[in-house]
Amino acid sequence: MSSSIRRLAARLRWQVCAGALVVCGGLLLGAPGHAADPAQDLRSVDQDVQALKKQLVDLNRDLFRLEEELLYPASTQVAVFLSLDVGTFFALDSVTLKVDDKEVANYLYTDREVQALHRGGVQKLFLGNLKAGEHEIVAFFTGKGPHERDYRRGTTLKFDKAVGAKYLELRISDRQAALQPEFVVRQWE
Amino acid sequence: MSRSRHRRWSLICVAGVLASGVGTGHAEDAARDLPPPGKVRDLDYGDVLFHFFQDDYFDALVRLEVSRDLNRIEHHSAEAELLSGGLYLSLGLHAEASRIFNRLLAGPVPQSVSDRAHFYLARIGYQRGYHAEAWRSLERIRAPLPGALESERRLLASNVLMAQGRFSEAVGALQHASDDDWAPYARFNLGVAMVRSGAAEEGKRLLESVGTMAAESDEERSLRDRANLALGFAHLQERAGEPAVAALSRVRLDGPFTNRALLGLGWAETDVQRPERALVPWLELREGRLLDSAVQESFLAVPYAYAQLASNGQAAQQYRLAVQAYALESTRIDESIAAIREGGFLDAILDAAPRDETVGWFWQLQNVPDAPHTRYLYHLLASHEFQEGLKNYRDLRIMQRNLERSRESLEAFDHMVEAREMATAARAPRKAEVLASTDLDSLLQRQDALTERVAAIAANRDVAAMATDAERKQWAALERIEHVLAGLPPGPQREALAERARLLRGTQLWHFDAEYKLRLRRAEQSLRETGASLAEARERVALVEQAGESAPRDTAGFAQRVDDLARRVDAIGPRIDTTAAAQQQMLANVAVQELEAQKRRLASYAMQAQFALASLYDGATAGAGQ
Amino acid sequence: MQRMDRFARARRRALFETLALLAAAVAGLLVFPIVSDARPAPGSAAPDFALKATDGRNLRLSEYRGDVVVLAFWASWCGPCRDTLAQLNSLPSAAGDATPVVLGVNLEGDDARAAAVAQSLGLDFPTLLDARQSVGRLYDVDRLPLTLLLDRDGVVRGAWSQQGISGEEIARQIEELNL
Repeated sequence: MSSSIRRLAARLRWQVCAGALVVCGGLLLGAPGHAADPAQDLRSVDQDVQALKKQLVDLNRDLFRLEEELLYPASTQVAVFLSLDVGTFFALDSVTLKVDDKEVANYLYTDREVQALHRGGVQKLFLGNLKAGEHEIVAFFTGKGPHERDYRRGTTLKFDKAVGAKYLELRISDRQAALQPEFVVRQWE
Repeated sequence: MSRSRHRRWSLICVAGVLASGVGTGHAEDAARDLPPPGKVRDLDYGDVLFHFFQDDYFDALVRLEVSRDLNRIEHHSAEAELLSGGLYLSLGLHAEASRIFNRLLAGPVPQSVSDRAHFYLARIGYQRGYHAEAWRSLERIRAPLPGALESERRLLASNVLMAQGRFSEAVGALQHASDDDWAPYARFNLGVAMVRSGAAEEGKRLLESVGTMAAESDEERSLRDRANLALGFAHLQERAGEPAVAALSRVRLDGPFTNRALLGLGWAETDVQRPERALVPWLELREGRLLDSAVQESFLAVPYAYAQLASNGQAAQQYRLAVQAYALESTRIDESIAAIREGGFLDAILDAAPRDETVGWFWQLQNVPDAPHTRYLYHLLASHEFQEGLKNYRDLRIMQRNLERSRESLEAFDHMVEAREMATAARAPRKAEVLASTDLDSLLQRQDALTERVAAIAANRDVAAMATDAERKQWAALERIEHVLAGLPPGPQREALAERARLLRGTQLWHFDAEYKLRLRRAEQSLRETGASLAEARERVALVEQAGESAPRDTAGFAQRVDDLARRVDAIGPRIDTTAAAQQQMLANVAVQELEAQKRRLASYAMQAQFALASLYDGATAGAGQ
Repeated sequence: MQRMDRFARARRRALFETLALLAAAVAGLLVFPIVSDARPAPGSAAPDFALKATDGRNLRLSEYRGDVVVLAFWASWCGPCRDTLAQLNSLPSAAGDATPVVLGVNLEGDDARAAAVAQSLGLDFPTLLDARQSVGRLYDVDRLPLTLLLDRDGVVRGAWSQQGISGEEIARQIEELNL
């Protein structure tokens, strides 16, 4: 066979082998930026994007603050939080909350939310305005405990709203009676 | 559900993708070592966590920033700082995240916090290509990191070592990581790196271990294919035909690497002098789409095999076929380049490209109709720049939507502030009226005077002072009677009258006395009540006055803030547009460069085909001439 | 004095009520950024909600961000609804990631019947029970069937009201809109 063809074949093979290695290796090892200039452009666009994202985070932060101060000024603000503190897995299903005999929250919990609560997250269940003075909250929760047992518990609390923002924490806990989730209410601030 | 699937994908494929420098942030890992429930001491921090644990990173970050600004999470300051760094990182803000971690490390922090900060800094350094720095950060980690972060640290360590060419150390690092999910990916990376840098034997051993591993998921099977492919070509490089065949034969026949495996198999067969067997994979390969480089090469490989089999006529025919095919493909590429230059194709690609950053999905394009934009998608997604650019472009679009929502919120706030202004203005005249009509001062004066008098009465026991008018009249009448009596001549008549007067006076006195206590009490009670009411009224007036003064101030303050925010929104919008346009341009450039490289390769193949054809003719004429 | 008290108190109450009303209205505006009389029009964000499914799980719409979602409102007495549900049950799956998530929302208020019908139709997507019709009101559903197509960011991109819809048409819309 012609030697030139053999040479062609050899060249081709080298291309193929190197190519294949580059392609399949490169997919996993691709170092950032092959050529100098494109990498530079990429970096500057990247910096711009990052700067814009930061501006957006700041903007959203300031909007959030403004919203809270406009709608829920500290003098009348009342926030009710919900947290879980249970030893075994408790599948919280729903929570209803009444303030001064008016229903203000009726929340259904998804698996994802329950998991987040179990990991230590605290839900801001309700944010509202109340005049200074005495008020009453009534809360119920339903859920499934170990062995598929259904639970429904309630609690009520009278509290005094003074000048500053009032935080109330509804904690579902089984510390008092083992394996029996109960409401424990706590006032903050 | 999409998000958890996304997370699983990104976790498994991160090893491959991570090594290529694409940042799939893992802020969620920071969560695995957070304190167990019950230890959250600031409710607002718990709120941040609630969103964070559900992967709502942006939301979590905004709330975190707000809470820190308002000093609501003082019990968790170091953790919150670390978390914010992690969140910025997961949102792609490497620079900001670095700043935060470095600032954190500058102060006194517990070791668990500083360890993690060093880890994140190492990861950022690696992603940006500052390998030495990344290694230094890694070395500052004192204790094993909590949870899955430790496994990530090992991965990062092996990647950094590899990037620095410290292969033997990298192999050592992998020894301790054999149980980690990502270990096979790391072994693959290392294997390829070692083959490329001359430590072929060790490299091939690593590739072999991955190429023969048990694979349960599609990602794992894909990895195994890659390993066998790389191994096969490594063998081919050393002309070890049989082992190459063995490795390449393990590649799946219906996967993303089939074509290249077929190509390699052909070469392996020719290596062991079996060109007729080489034709089998090559002919099959040639039926594929020309946009695949392996297929392009098969057009040259097939006639080569025929030539080896001394079928020169066939060979010549196939070379001519090759030349035609290349020319056709080149034209198609020209068309694609023109389409890119015209613009607008990017959105089509973006919408077609999936959200997951999985490499290797593009083989599915083989099954998709040959629409203009899909042709080059196939090639482009292998490029790192393109992936990064695509991510940026997508993020910019999301930012536009967020900005739009912000704009709408601000409009609502604007209305609210206006309403407040109007309400305050409406109340002003009424308020002035009420304040004017209330002569609190004179009321207060009267109250004071009355209080004094009652106190005097009590002090002096001035019983008569509490008498009613009727009683006073009676008392006066009695006094007149006594006066008259005094002027009467003594005698039994006078005695009887005097006696009666004395009785009456006694009754009256006794009555007054009894009533006095009661009346005094009532008077004092009344005074107290009116005193309280007056005090309340005074307070209210003061409040109303104060509100009258502060409300316009507050409202003005809010109005100012709304204006400022609106200005910021207006400023950001055009910048997003410009950056998006710049990114588009860049992506277009990358795409065109890629396609032009394609064209060059095709041209080179075509030339080789021509050259081979010429050789064949030469040989034929030379032979004929003999 | 007493008269002034009542006056001030009454005005203060009025002020509070106005603010509260305004706050509620604005909160509504903030939650549903685009105010429209009719159901969420194409281009606007689909209001978030959570409902219990027939299998007892609670499902929240916003957790499906990242997927293309088809929301199908129905009731058992509505024939075209059942046809639509059957169509949605066997959506032609497009290449790769593009298979949409289907969520059925039953507005009857009779959970048992809804579950029974869902089972008889052999639906393999969740049936959410809106017993109090809170979501029905949220989406201003006045005619059935109502089928909405949401993109991966939760924005309404297609709406079919008072008519059934075929699987092909949904798939075509998804394709055309490049969702």
